[in-house]
Amino acid sequence: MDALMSPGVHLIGLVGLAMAAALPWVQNKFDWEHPVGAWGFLWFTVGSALGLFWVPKEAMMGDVGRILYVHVPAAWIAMVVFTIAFVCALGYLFTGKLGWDWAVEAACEVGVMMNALLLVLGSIFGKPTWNTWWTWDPRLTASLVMMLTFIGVLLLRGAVADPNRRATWTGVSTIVAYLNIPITYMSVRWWASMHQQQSTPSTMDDEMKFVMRMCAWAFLMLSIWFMARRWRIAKARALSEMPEPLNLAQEAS
Amino acid sequence: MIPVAAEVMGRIEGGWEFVIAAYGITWATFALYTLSLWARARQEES
Repeated sequence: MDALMSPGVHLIGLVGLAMAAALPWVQNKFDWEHPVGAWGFLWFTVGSALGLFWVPKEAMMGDVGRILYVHVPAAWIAMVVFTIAFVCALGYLFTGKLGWDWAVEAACEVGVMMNALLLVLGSIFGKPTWNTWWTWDPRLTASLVMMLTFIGVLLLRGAVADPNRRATWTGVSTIVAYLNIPITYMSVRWWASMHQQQSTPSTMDDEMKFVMRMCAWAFLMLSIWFMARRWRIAKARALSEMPEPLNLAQEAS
Repeated sequence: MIPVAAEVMGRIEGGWEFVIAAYGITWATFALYTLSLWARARQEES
C-alpha cells in the first residue's frame, strides 16, 4: 500500500508547487502564490479530516497520537522556513539586493509563527503523554531558544531606521540565530531527553506516513503563501520609505 | 536491584479534548495570521 501512497502524496504536493509558477494564465490572473495557498488549504482540510477520523490510533498514545499530524509538520516546516531565512540572508549579504532582505523579514516572521505553534502543540501533546505542560528538556528548551532568537532578529530589525544598515544587521543576526537550528534538531541525540528521537518511516504504519506527509506538504504550501504575501508587504513598506527615484530603481530590479 | 529501563505497558485512553484543542489552535493560528496579512496589505495599499 505504501508503495502507491507515498509517491502519490509527494506527487500531488509537487504538482501544487509546480502549477503555481508554471502556468502562464495563473501569472496573468493572480499573484503566483494564490494557487499554492489554495492547494495548501485544501490539502490541510483533507489532512485534518484524515488525521482526526481515518488514521488508526497510535499503539501507545491512542487517540492523543493524532496530535502528531500537526505537531511534527509544524516542527519540520518551522526549520525549513528558518533555513529559507538563512539562505535569503546570505543572498542579501552577497548581492546587496533588498529583495533578499524582504524575504528574510517574511521568512523570519512566518518561522516564528510556526515555531510558536510548534511549542503550543507540543505543550498540549505533553500534558496527556508526559503529564506536564512544560519541562526544561533539551529539545523543548532549544525550540524555545530558536523562537526567541528569531524574535530578537525581528526586534533588532525594527530598531534600525536606515534600510541598508537594517538589511545588513538582519542578515548577520539571522545567520547567528540559525546556528541554533542544528543544535535543536540534534538535541534529542546529544542529550538525555524526554522527547523521542526522530522516527524513521519504517517505524510508522502506511496510513500514518501518508497523513503525516500530506499535512507536511500542506504546512509547506501554506508557509510559502504566507511568506510570499508577507514579502509583498515588506516590499511595499520599503518602497514607501524611499525617495521616488530610488523607489523606481528598486522596483525595476 | 535498580532497573535501568522501565517498560511501559498499556495505552492512553481518551484525550480527545487535547486532540481537538491541537487542531483547533492550528486552524485558528493560520486563520488569524492570514487575517493579519490581509489587514497589513490593505494598510499598505491605502
